[in-house]
Amino acid sequence: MNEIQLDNRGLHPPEPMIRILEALDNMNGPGKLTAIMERQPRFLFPELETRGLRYTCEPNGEGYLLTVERDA
Amino acid sequence: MISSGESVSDPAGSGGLLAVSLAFFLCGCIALIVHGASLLTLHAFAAFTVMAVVGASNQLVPVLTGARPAPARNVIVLSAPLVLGFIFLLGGFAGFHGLFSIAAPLLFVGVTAWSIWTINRIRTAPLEAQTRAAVVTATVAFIAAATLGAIMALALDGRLPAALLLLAPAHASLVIIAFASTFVFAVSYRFVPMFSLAHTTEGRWTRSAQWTIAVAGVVGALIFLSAWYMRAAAVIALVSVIAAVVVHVQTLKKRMRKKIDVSLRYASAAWVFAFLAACCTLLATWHPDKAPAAVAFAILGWLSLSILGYSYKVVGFLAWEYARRKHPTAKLPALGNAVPERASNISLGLLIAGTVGAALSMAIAPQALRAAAAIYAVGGFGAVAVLTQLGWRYVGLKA
Repeated sequence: MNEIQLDNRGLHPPEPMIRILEALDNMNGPGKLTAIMERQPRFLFPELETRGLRYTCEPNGEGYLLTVERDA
Repeated sequence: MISSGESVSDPAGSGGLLAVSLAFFLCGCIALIVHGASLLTLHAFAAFTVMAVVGASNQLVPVLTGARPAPARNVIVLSAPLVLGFIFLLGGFAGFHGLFSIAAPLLFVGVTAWSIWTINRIRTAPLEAQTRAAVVTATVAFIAAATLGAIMALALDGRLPAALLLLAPAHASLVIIAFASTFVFAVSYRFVPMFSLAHTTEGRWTRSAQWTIAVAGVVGALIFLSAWYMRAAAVIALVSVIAAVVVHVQTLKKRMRKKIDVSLRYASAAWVFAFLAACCTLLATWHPDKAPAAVAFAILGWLSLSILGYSYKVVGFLAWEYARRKHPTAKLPALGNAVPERASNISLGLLIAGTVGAALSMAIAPQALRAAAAIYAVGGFGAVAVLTQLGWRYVGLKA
């Protein structure tokens, strides 16, 4: 199972979203991606749902922690 | 699942304001047919632009800058004087001149209150210094434009000297260029890569166009001193448009999403009209009879197409977010292909044809204006119908 961790702090939009989508697109098979970022990646959520991915996004300190799970 | 709590913006306030702005847009389309190139028509489109910027910024400011999101109730209460002010202003231009004296204080107070509130929100926000500075610049220009507008509204009602109406070109320069265009330039820098899924083009000069366009608006506002100020403003605006387009083209070359989506198709057409508007403004400094064509390119083409184009994404997204909050576990229709391609493309074609037709008829063949206006209006109603259908697809979802 793939595990990817991204630190997207300090990046301007839409770089965090692009980095997350690129990482997910390059993920072979099931896996889990976690990313920390300063902003809530609101435009990313419909993109994740379109790809059929499960996700949570919670406040984490002064930023947000996104977790995306991919079954296959 | 999306987290809940105070850190999440409520899309209802901004969504409501966007609906109001689209209603003003439809009023503008009808006024263009009925009244032609009149102040009533112009200010209906101005109301559309202002309410769209106000509505959109309430969502964008927190998303981009990390500012604290505002409750929907605050957004609606703060925007109410603006909406009422524009309704009274349009009533004044429709012939009920006494309404100018009500519109003037309402709009001035509304603009000032919203501007102070917005500046105060982003003053201490932690992120995006350049975007925050651009929004503050646009907002200050907005207050200046509203001040001139309020003075002229009182002059139209006979409460101030009629000579003050000579401030109209300065007012237009501040509203169209320094306020609305600066805002569109600033958000486009984030929207183009966001909508095309592209890495942002970051460089020392890549955001300079948002500053030069603001300068153009301020320089143009000095036209009452000499026509040379507007000439200089048009040249600066022209260079700004070219610089912004170069950055956007570089960004689009790096996009993940192969297809240019509907928002960016509208935006591409809008940038062409921005170029034409700047060229026409320059020409109008020698041939003032071409000024209406410049305004047509700027309002019907540049600003309206930018706002309508970005609205496809923003309305869809706000409606999707509303549905997601209302039905946290439901499977929602995919947002990526929610916009009907054919209908939005036909609307775009009609809006482009209508804008070109309106500008040309204002410049050389006034008798053709009504036909061009009708084409534009059909395109406008089509675009609003698509946006309404798009929004309702999510907002109207049953559990």
